[in-house]
Amino acid sequence: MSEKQVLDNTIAQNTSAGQIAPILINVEDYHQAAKAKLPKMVYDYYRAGADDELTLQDNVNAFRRIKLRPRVFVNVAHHDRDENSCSVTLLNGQTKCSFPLLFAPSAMHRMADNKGGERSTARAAVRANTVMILSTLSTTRIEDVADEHQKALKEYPQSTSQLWFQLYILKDREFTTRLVQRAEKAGFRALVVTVDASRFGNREADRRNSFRLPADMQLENLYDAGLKQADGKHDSALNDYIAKNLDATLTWKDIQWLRQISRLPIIVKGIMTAEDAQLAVQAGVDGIVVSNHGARQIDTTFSTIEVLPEIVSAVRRIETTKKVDIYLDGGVRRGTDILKAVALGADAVLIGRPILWGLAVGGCQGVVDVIDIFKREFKLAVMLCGCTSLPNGNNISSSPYSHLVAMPRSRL
Amino acid sequence: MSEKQVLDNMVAQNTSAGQTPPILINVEDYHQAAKAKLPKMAYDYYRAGADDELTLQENVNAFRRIKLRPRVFVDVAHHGVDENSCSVTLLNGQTKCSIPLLFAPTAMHRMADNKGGERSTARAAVRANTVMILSTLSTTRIEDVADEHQKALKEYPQSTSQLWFQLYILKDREFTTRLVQRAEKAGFRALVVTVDASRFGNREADRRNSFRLPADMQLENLYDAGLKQADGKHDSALNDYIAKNLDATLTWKDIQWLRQISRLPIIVKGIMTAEDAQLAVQAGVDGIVVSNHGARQIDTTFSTIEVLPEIVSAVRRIETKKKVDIYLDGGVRRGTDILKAVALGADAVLIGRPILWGLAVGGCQGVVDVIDIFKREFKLAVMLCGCTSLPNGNNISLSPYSHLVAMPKSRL
Repeated sequence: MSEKQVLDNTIAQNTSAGQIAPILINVEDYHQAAKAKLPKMVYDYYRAGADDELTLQDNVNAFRRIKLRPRVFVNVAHHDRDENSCSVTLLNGQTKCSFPLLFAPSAMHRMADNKGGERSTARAAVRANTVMILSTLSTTRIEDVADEHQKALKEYPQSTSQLWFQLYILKDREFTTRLVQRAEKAGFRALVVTVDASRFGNREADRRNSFRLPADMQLENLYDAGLKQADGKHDSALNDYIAKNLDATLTWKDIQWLRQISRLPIIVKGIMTAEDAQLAVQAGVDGIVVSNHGARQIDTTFSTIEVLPEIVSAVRRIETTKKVDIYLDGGVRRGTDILKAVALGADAVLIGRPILWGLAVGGCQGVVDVIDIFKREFKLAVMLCGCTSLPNGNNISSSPYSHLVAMPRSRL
Repeated sequence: MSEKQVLDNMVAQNTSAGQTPPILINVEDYHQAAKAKLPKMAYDYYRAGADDELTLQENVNAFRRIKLRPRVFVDVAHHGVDENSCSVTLLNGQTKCSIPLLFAPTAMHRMADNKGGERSTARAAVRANTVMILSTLSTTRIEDVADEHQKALKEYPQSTSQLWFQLYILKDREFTTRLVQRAEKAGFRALVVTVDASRFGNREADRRNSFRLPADMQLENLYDAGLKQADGKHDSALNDYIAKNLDATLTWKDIQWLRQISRLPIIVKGIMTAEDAQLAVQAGVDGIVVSNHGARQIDTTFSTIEVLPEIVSAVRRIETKKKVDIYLDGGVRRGTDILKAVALGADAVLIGRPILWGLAVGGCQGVVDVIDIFKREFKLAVMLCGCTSLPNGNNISLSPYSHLVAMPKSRL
């Protein structure tokens, strides 16, 4: 055998599918492994966007089009030694994460990890040293998630992980109030109010599959939420539930209502315009998430990274007594994506689908591994771009990193 | 069987072609189902554009490139309960439609639905509560379409549906006059004059198929219009007929001629420039349709949504005694398309091919189902974009919805 044949055989043995576990070295690997493992209806639910899924692709592609301008010959050795060289402090000092990435709220984790569900995710957040935002549409009770989080914190006492609670405001305001009070009592440290979902969007994959929850689970924090059947033939049981139960009359006044029933910091999720960012700040929120709901609501809206600059600009222009955090989700798949979002003014990013792929592939450990991939990629990107510290673009014109990203000059 | 296999089997049974009817949840589903059902010559006739069909793709793609800027935390609940929350009034109060969508004039419906043809379409317009524009090139007599429309109105007395008549002005002006008088007498409420077809465009699919009408039908409102054979070998019998009979000398003076023979409102269809829009208004028309004739006339012209802003601007700049309606057709396939056209200043859109796909798949009911899809998508888009009322962009700078759409910054 030639030397080439010897070497090629070694690699073939390493990579042949079916002989050993697939090689999982990036987020897309986890995506493909999860796709192979999950039942179609579940995978489609997690993956889908609205209508023709143009924004779903755009969320990812817009990040790719943004170009980095790396500086060289900069002393970046400390990033290797110091675990926390890129840590962030959020919500005016209340929260610390090892790097600027949080778990976005996503529904129904038990479809990915039947045994552990949201408890696996909470434990992974502790080990990853970051925030898990629990969805109202959780397949695990609020208190049970909190219990698991507490248990894990005892095992990993160095962790600064927190739980935040994502809230859908229901027509039944009393029920909503009790949800909020339960979350506060269970130790959740902030409320993340979804503002872009008066209805759920047209997710055609769910309609073709007549999406419904598997037999052995339900939305544990809501009532009559088995989601076993939709009214129409090709409709999602979840969309039906949402249409019947969510309050579609919500306005900015409802932030005042929320302030009356909770003292927790309030973050609004689903801001896509400078105008709404301004209204959010004026309504006194503690943070906003620039988000198009994973491209699952309205299709042909902008990608989130594309509207981040106008929103950062609008928010920072307003004088406030306390800082308003700006987060971004949608399409974050690489360490360079985190770098771009932060350099353009986000305090942190949220990731949604990658957590679910990690859960599906390996439960808690799978999620930890996915976060490790992001950490590793992010720190490498920070070093290779010549950033001695976190390239926070909060005041982009005076930021030492204003050189770092360049918007594409033209695009399709 | 693993849990994944059980669930996947359930979904497969739901979706496998041949076992159950195909799942039809969007306009493209109807297109594909119609394509599978129609004889090639009929499908090709309906589908084709001119030359290399670049504008045919552009009509759709230009809509996709336009981005929406959704506003959140807006009270939109009423859209869910009020059927008419997005209704429009057209032609200075004469016409009402439940959503800003009308049936464009298209030829030869009996090729799609042999038994019902244009009568099915007219009935569907009544049930969908909107306007049907009947083509001069109809395979059903004017009076028979009007009869069916009247019958349906008696069965659905809440409907505000109207019939409008699309007119090709022939060399034979006396014949044309009689056509117009017949339409007026039969209760048609407006004339839609096609101005972009001195000849029919180079539709190569029709030439390759030597397009001709099936044996058992003819153009019922014209003479010697069996369209059974073209003169040339690879030519369309329809294009031949048009070339021989249509008046190619038409100018704006012919609007005055038309005013002498009819009191009906006059809409001109086929405007693609601000200059012609201006001439149309000066000629005293009641409405214009921004249209490239479904990309069937001249290829490599602009998409219609792309030229809409310049035309709206030109029309609204001119002082007139009565309002001039602006309609748009070409490439409308999604609820978000209707939203964009209206936000950019159109009073309503016309849809052509989707009606034919509905007809082919299920006759009258098929058309009704297609319109229901548009209605559902449109109302959802209106809600998710935070529009409390129809986002009419008539005076775009003053419109509360001027934020809603953003033209792409640059394009290939």
